Amino acid sequence: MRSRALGGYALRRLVQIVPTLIGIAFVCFFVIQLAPGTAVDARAQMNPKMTLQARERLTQLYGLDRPLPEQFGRWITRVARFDFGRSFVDGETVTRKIAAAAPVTLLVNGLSLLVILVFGVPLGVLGAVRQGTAADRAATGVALVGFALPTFWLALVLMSLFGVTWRFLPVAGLHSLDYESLAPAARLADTARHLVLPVFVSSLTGLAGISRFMRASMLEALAQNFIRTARAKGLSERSVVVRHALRNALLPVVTLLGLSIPGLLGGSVLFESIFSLPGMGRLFYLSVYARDYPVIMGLLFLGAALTLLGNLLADLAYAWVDPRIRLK
Amino acid sequence: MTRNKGAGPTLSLIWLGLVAAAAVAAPLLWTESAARMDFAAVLAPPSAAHPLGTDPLGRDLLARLACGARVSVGVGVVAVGLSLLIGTFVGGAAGYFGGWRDRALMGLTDVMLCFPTLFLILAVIAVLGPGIWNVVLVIGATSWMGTARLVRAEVLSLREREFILAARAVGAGPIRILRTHLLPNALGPVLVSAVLGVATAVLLESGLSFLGLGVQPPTPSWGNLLTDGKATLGVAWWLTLFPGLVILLTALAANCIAEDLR
Repeated sequence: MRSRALGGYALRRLVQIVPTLIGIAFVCFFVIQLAPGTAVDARAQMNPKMTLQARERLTQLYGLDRPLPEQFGRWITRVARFDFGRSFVDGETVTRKIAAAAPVTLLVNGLSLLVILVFGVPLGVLGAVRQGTAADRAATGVALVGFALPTFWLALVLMSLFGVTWRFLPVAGLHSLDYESLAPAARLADTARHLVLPVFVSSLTGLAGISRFMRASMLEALAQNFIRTARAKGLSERSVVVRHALRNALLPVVTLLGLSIPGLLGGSVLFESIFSLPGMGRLFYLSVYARDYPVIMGLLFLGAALTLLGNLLADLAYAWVDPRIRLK
Repeated sequence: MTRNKGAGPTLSLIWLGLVAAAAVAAPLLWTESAARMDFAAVLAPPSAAHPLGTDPLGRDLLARLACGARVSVGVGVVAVGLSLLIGTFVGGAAGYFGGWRDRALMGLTDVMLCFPTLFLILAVIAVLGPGIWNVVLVIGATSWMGTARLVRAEVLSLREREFILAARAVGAGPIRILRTHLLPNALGPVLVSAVLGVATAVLLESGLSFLGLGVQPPTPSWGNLLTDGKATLGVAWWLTLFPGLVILLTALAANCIAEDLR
């Protein structure tokens, strides 16, 4: 019964996603229409010797002579097949370029989510349980600073301290130069050392957010009647906090984790450029400089689709742990 | 909490007052000293003559930071104004009219929320080109969703109250009801989100300028100063430290005040 209800809920949510996906494709299409001139002009700029006939052929080839609604229709049918065309820069298909970059970004952001969860939740719980103490005030202060921190600046400062002054951690890239010659275990350690700073810096803002949220959520849970009941039954404080309050307070955090994905993905543009990580963010940044529109559009669409997917997974996880949701 | 409330907001107000004063006055008083190159004091560390040190051209960092305040804070404030305008319009219309208009507008809001912030901003910048007005436009056009949801929720909760029904009964049109009755009542939470929005916008501007895709040099913005500092990080720590601190303190002060208002 439970799994069937969950299945029904999952199906409903999947269907609801379709209009949002179409909306995302529409916004991407709209952004590219803002560009002065057409893709053919952009290519002609790179190749001034292009003849008028060649331009006309390209216009026809790209379907730029067709009315806008038809162009949008063609764009969205190709998007549905994950066909974003070829890069203006090197002629490689956009899909292949993104597929090569995605693992790095997913790894860094996945680790960041883990860090946010593992450190943010206990911090928030601590603040709520010890409300008003010096520890709580310190955590509040740190969270406020975390929100206000220009994280790319922090990245720069840490990079110069750990990487240049103390020579403690590598400053750029994913692997050392001698990576190929290392044993498997040493390879793992090498990659881990390269990931320490990027993961730390990119998880900071989310960490601040989730610890604040967790604290509020926990305070709310601790004020409930069933907590008083649990205390009245004579349960230990530890059991009250962990088994009764925390389990309820954790629920909304799942949604919040899903909501922090766009910030993380957006932040990867900054961090991957600073730390020279070959991921989607750096690809995006380089494509913006090269005005490589197909790659930009592909990344823009996939970035939004990834966020949507993350939110969907968060919703499903929420429905899985909280049966009240899927009955609505 | 009580101690935080004592000092935090006051200090924040003082700092923001200083920044605002710099934004207004510095470009009038200090443009000359911000541009003057003191070749006897190239890359000079902080001293009495140059409290925050000088850059590779011997320009005074304090004067340049003060002049950058107008650009950075100005971009933040105008962008947030734009986002408030869009958000209030979208949220107000969705909440007041309801039905398919509500579904369409909120659907658009959901779609916009899916985009990783910097991805969307950079895509538009790639298309329109960088520059101060494009940055304002782009930040404003991509950060209105929170306001829209807030305003919609407020309008929904107020829509069926007696004073609105009374206004409708005497023949007030939807625009008048929204403008004189509904939106002023939604002002409180919107104001808080606006203060937070300015902090976010200042951070975004500095991030964009840091990537070289925001305000273009030689216009001094805090993000540009930070980028300049990056080049000499190994020899002149002050050129990286102080611009970052100024950005941090300004965003922190705005956050403190928003927290206090709430």
